[in-house]
Amino acid sequence: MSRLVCALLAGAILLAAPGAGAGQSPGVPDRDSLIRRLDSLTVTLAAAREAADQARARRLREEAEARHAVTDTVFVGPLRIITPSGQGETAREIFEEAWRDYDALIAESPALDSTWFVFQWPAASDPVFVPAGEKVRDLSYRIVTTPGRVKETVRTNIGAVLATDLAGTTLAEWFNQPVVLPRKLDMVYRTLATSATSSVRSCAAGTLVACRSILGLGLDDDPSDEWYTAEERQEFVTDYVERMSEAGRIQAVEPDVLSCATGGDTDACDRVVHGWTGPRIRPPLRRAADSRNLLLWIALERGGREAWARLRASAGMTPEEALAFASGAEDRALLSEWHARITAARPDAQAGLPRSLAVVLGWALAMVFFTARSTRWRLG
Amino acid sequence: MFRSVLYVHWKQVHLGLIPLMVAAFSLPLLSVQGLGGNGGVTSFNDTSLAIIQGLQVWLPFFSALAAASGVVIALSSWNWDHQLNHVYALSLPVPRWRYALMKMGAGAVLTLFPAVALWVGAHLAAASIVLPEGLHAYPNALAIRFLATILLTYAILFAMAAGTVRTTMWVTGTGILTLFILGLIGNDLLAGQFEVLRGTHILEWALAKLDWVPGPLEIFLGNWRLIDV
Amino acid sequence: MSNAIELKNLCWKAGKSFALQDVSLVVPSGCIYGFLGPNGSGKTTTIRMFMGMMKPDSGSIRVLDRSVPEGMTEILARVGYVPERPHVYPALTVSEQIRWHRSFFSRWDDAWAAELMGRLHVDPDMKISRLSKGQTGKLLILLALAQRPELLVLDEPTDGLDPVVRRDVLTATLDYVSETGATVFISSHLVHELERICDWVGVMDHGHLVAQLPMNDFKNGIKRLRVTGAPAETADAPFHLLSRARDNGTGSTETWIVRDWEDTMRSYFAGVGAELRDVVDLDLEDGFVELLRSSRPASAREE
Repeated sequence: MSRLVCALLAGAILLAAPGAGAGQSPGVPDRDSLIRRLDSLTVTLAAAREAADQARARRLREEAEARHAVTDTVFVGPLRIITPSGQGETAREIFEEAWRDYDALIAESPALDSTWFVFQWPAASDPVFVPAGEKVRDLSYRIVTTPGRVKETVRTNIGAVLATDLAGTTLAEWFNQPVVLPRKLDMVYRTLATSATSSVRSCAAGTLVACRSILGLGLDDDPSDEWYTAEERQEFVTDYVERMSEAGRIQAVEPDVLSCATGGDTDACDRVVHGWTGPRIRPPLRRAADSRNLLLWIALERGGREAWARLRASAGMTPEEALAFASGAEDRALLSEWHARITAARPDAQAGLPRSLAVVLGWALAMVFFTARSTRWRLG
Repeated sequence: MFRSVLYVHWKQVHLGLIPLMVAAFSLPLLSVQGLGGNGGVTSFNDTSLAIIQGLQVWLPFFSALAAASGVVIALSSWNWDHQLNHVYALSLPVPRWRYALMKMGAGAVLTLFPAVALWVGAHLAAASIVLPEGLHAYPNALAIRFLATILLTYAILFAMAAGTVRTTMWVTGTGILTLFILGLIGNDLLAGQFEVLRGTHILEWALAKLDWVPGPLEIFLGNWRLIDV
Repeated sequence: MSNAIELKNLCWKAGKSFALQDVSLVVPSGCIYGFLGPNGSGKTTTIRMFMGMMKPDSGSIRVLDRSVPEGMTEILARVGYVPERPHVYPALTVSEQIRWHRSFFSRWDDAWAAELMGRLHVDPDMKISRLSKGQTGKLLILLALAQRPELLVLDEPTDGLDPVVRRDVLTATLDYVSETGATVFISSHLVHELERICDWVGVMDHGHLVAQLPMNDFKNGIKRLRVTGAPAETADAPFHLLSRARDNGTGSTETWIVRDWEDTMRSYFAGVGAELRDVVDLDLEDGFVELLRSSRPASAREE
């Protein structure tokens, strides 16, 4: 732009110069004077170019400064959040609410200390500045969403970063998910109470040994006897045979398996199930994430702000030992509280119904009142 | 007099109400189709959880049907009088408040019809499946909740319709416009312009305020499961 | 004799276009009161005021010795009302509508209703939405009469009906009145219809009550006079001059329309040096038209 202005300026000066475009004639400046004039114009053009370059440099500098200004850094507890300028308050509010769950429990987390959260909602068109060589967790929301979902995702991401603190421990293998306070304990109760497996239902009914077992704590190499009754083990095998049959692979099924499934040979069933190890024996508690999270959370609450550090130092311990070490309580006490909290969240189809009816009645009476005020002067 | 009011209201609403009654009767039966065990106590298919999750899909339909029933009964109750500009109603020798309350009472009686249909359907549905251990059917609670929801929707809309058309238009128009503005413009425009609105989804905030306890929407948020632990 | 309806200084304004202005009206008990006026003159609005459906801005209303709106419930129990537009529920049958209506009126007379149904040829099983305009009109008068009212308020009851139905409706009404002595307030813009039946007449125009007088006074008091050599000033005339116009091609002869005329007033013309050449009786319709013409401002008359 500036160059164009300069060129136009120079052209205009040339055109405006006396005699420009006219032929040589008496009274017209001679060649030398024209050369001198051209020299002076060249100097002017050079000065204009320099001014244009300076203006451009200034503009680029301002743009660079402006780009730098789009990035803001917010600190919430140990969390470092990079966000576009102007979204700082939003980020602070959302992360503060998410961190509130952890604040009383986590004194120090190396994983959180070394992670930058990049938060954009809505995502800005310019990329935010991210320090080179740092661990980054990107939380950019380009789609239309609600604060509730954003907060939930932020919480899950904090929990996921936290969980990496436990890497290398047996507890991490047992846990293997973000550290998040479970909120839908009624569904946990439903999962326990309606399980097809008697050990899980037994846990729901209050048998803590069963709870310990189905949570995967204190197990030996072959937990099948703890998890399943003889009848269930046979059904387990039958189920397996049916699936193999449906898949057209019945020929691959061992004779013991068949005699268990078809003949009801209990010994054969035991031999088969005990012979199965690892993933072929499915743990009886499905969707165990919230159940385990609750137990871990209780351990952290009991252990105080140093519990997390103790958990990180629990390498070599079994999960139940690690939880007991972190909480300073026996695993039975932890399980007892775990069970109590789930039982307290037991959904009841009739719970709250009288209250709801009272509320409905109240509103209906209010409407009756308003209706009775319907005026006779309806027309006009 | 009340019997006459009830009869006329029935004449007004029956074409709309009968399909709703059929729906109320069928909904519980439909919701349990394909669910339920074969009577075995232990099945590795997790029948119980499957029942609970299978019912989950149907839950919004119960409250929606209840609300629809309330809307139909409420709108029909004043429909004829609105058409006649209330001239006839006002020429009857009853105080206006008494006339309005009689109409409201007649509508309240009519709310029983879909609720009873649902109650019968829910009992049949509960009897049609074998419930695994740990699960129970709650047809009575469901029917009561259904009735209360119809009654509430009906009462609110009836009261609005009992006012003048101008008042009703003002109230509903303002409400719809507010939700429209908050929902559509809310975050995309307003929050983009005003820093103070950042991080607050205005429609979500408004809806959260609507279900404040003991707000009128509380009944909608309760446990609508026919079968639960 | 008490009054069935008393309106005092009734005012009501609807935007800029229409207003009832200081309407004071008295309907004596036992009379048949014709409420005349062109369309849009304020007849229906006035009726809705004393039926308690609209609230006046000012003024007072008494109907059947009770104040409106305080005594409205008692009043309506004694009033049979046929509004301007049919007000029955179209999805009901005739018998259902009658059952609904009777449940509100303690003085409802089943025998009288059955008799009216026969006389007016109303089919009880017919759905109201399928009734013709005439049949609907008959049903409305049946509903109003069978509740045995002390006051019948009929707002354009025969408007749009054919002559046979109109006669049926009016006959049924008059039979009831002659039997019970009830008061009838009947509004119409069909002047000749009221001429035969009304004792009193009130005339509305542009929200004003232009005149209110016994029918005889109305019919006999308005005359067309032909006057020669009429004086320019008539302030001292014993009658009320409604209008005057010079006859075409007759020199100094004028046609006067006057109100409150009596034969003894002929001498007035000799006294002012004029000659009364002719006195012509006007029928109600002509009188009504002349009354309206004279009551309107000059600009409105030219329209």
